Amino acid sequence: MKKIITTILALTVGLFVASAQESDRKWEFDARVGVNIGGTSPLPLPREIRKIEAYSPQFSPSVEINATRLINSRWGIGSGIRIEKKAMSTHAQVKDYRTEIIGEGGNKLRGNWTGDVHTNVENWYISIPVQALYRLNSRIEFTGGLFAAYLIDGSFDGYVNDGYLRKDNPTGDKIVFDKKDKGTYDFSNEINSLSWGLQAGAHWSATQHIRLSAQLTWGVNELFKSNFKTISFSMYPIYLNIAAGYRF
Amino acid sequence: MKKTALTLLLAATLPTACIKDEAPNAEADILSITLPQGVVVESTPDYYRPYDNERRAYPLSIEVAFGTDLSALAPTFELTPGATLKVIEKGDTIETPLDKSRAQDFSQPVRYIVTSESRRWQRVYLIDIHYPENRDIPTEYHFESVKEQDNYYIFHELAEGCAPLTWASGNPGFALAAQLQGITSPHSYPTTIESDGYSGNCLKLQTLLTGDWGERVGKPIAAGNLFMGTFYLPTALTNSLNSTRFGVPFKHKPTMLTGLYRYTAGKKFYDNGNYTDETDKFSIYAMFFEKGDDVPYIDGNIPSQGFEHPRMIATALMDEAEKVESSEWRRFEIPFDYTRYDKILDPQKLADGKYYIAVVFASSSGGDEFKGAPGSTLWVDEVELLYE
Repeated sequence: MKKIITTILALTVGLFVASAQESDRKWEFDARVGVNIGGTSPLPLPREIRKIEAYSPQFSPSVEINATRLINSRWGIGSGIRIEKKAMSTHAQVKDYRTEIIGEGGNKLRGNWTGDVHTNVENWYISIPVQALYRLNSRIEFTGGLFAAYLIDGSFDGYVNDGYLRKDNPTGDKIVFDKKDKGTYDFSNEINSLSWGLQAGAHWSATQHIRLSAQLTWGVNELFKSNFKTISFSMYPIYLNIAAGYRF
Repeated sequence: MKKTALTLLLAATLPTACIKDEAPNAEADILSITLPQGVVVESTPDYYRPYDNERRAYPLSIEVAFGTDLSALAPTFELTPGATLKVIEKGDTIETPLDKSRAQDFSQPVRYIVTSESRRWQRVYLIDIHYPENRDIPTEYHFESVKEQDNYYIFHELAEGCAPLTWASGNPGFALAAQLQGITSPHSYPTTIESDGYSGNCLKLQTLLTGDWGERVGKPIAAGNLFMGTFYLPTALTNSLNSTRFGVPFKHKPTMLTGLYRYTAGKKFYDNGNYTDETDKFSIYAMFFEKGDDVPYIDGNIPSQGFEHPRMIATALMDEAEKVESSEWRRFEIPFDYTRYDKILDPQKLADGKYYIAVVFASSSGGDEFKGAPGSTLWVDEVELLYE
């Protein structure tokens, strides 16, 4: 997979640099390297979630190349390509949360969980943004638009402990997991291969070529495939991308 | 400016990240029952027994001392917070506020309905308050009759003048996950019955693969077992050794365990992530021990502890050399060894049912530690427990 990414990147960079050299001022090109900080979360938090014990963003790099066509001195329209990771891990306390777990004996079972849930999300995407640009002054620009992202590699897994599962429904057989017991789960195969949503960013030019960007990407379609019913609520990726860029 | 924009973006996301008010409880459990003062309860009830299809209720059995007046007992209940209780009295459903205990005639089991705080879920209980069993359990085991429960079989041994003996097994634990694996035949469970016995039907125990999911966590097998005692479901998936609780009262001094078996060892022996060329072995043994309030049972850890237990009085362990593969029925005779533990039997305790017996069969002797060969099968028939 790394090979594919590198190849795509190299090709795109080459293309952009080549066209940048022969373009007039109507086109602008930039390349960015950054990190995503955020979460893949139900919105709003459902009643099943009683407490967020811990949240930690995981190292989520991004590389991005954009081309912008300037319409006039203030407005422009642009697109690009971004390869990025969206990752985080959480530890939450839940009550009566529908899930599917694997017990000590490798037994898989479904039911309503009350207790702790540890989740790791680690998704790699190739994203294509389409956005409008507004130039406030020579240093500050805003962008806003849509993105579509294709999942290259995804995982959504973790474990439950310190609680109990009620098999099938809240009155079913009670299966106890102590703090030391782990019931694992893995819904990696259920992640939607397409993610799309809104994005909005602010950019500050430190010098003629160096630019700092902050950009929020808000996933609008569900993280999981629509036929995945194990978890009773929908989850969305919401990440803030902080990047340093070079404007050609 | 950039800061302002960021603040605005964050401000938009934060309100949605708040924890909502807790939903009303969806569970509807009886957490505990307290009987009026003066009523002596003989053992802690198991509040989480599996649903009984035949009686259409969760069975809850409480043993009280002989002579207790069962005709008007007023138990008090502790339920899931917010849940409410109703009792079925002569066909009528009557609300029973938790702060007022209501006397019932427990000479027959009484049906109770618990409704969750959310009002959406109910659990029906059949509460059976009864005296300790006075009759002896049968001592000859023919493995002829089973009852089907949730797609698996439960063995019963019935004999004239004896208390019915219900054998326990790990099947309820296997059943928890079987449904998602598409296992619907009781014959695909580790503990099952077969018609091709030495005489009539027989017991069939098989070590099975638990599928992809078991493979993932390095515990891909489930051995068949059958034992005297109870299987405690809540810890079935996390601590199956603790769930296996041996022992039923026995008022005689056992001397010998005899019977017939056939055995096929599975081809590939699984041990801790690897398949080895070790040959699988079965288990047939019996234990005789003194029950106490502090030791209500001996659990499934006992074989790995070398059958060492302060309450152990005698064990009947089969010679390793005797455990052979055979397609023909082979007879076993295992004497009870009293010398190892060097205890003196108290005749009064024996008469009072303070001594417990457990006869145990398993298709893989290391099955409790997820060691064994898929395909290992033990057939057992015509077992007899001899006693003085």
